[in-house]
Amino acid sequence: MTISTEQEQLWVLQARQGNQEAFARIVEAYQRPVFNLAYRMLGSVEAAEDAAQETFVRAYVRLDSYDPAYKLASWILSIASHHCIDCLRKSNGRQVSLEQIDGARWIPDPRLRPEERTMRAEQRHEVREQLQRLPEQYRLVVILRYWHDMSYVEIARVTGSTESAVKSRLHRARLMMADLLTEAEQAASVPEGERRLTESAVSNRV
Amino acid sequence: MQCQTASELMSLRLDGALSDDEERALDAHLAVCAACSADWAHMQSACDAFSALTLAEPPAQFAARVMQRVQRRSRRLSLARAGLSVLLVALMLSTLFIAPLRALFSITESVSSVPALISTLVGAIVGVASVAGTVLGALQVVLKALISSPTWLVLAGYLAICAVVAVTWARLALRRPQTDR
Repeated sequence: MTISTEQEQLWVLQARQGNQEAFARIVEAYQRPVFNLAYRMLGSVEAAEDAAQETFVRAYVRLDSYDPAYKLASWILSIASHHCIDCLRKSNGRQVSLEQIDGARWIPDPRLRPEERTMRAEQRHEVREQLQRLPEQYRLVVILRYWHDMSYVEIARVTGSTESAVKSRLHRARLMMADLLTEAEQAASVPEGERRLTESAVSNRV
Repeated sequence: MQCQTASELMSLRLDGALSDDEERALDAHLAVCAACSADWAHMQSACDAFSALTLAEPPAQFAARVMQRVQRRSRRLSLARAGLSVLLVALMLSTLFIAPLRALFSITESVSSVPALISTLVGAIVGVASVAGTVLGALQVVLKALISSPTWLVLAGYLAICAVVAVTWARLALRRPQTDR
């Protein structure tokens, strides 16, 4: 992204005064990262487009609360992150606190039937599939770290948490991803009876 | 070094966040611990896979659709603001006229002769009209500021001030005739 901070701040100023053309420039500049975050978090193009659109509408309405001391990208991605987490919680019909997530043990998705597991094993290089199986807060830090190339401090600001929490979530997320990929590889080669053992080993992991 | 510590350091190493001492300590542990060494290999391959992925492209016309939604939302917000402002004006007007109306009713009750009633009524109407003129002028200014105001915060501030003024006015206006008697 090669937009100067001065240009960005000018757009923000103009948009705050009701200039929608200026806001359109902001949308064009950040549509890719915002859509990517929503798509990686929600896993479907339709849901991602709706969430990304809503992110920009919220940014427009709340433009006065933006602090120019921080990057505009971080602020917009922060709105996107919170909105995506809200969407996921609404669709799952549950509320999970961060403490619950950080303290949770990793358990493979029990909804998958054996034939689906085999199918997943066939697609073991599909990291995106595995990413969708991570708890939402872990998925979010992985996306911000790898797709958006953010530092711990930036991720902490975007997610509204602390640097040490970010390090800890990234650590757990990487362990889970390693386990998921290993599990997928083993599921392809290990007979059904022994696969259960592998999965229970994974569930005891974190 | 414990395996748990080693595992945390592995994750930090992937972000290039280890000091030289930590790098050496982790290498020393990996050299002697087969389990951690295997974990490290898995973690690396999982994260190599992430690094290879690119940003997802938004669908065609995405930005245009966003702007349509922004326009719809800001129109709705303006309507809501205008509606609230009208409510506010109605509230202020109704409370501001409590005092003159009460005075008018007490006059019509006490005056008996028709010419005296008419002259008092005319006087009262002129009084009400002059109050209304001043109030409407002030309201016009407030209304303009409210409708062009870009934030809900300013609107909420105005509302709070007006509510306090209206309530205080209403209490004063309703109490005065009783204390006179």
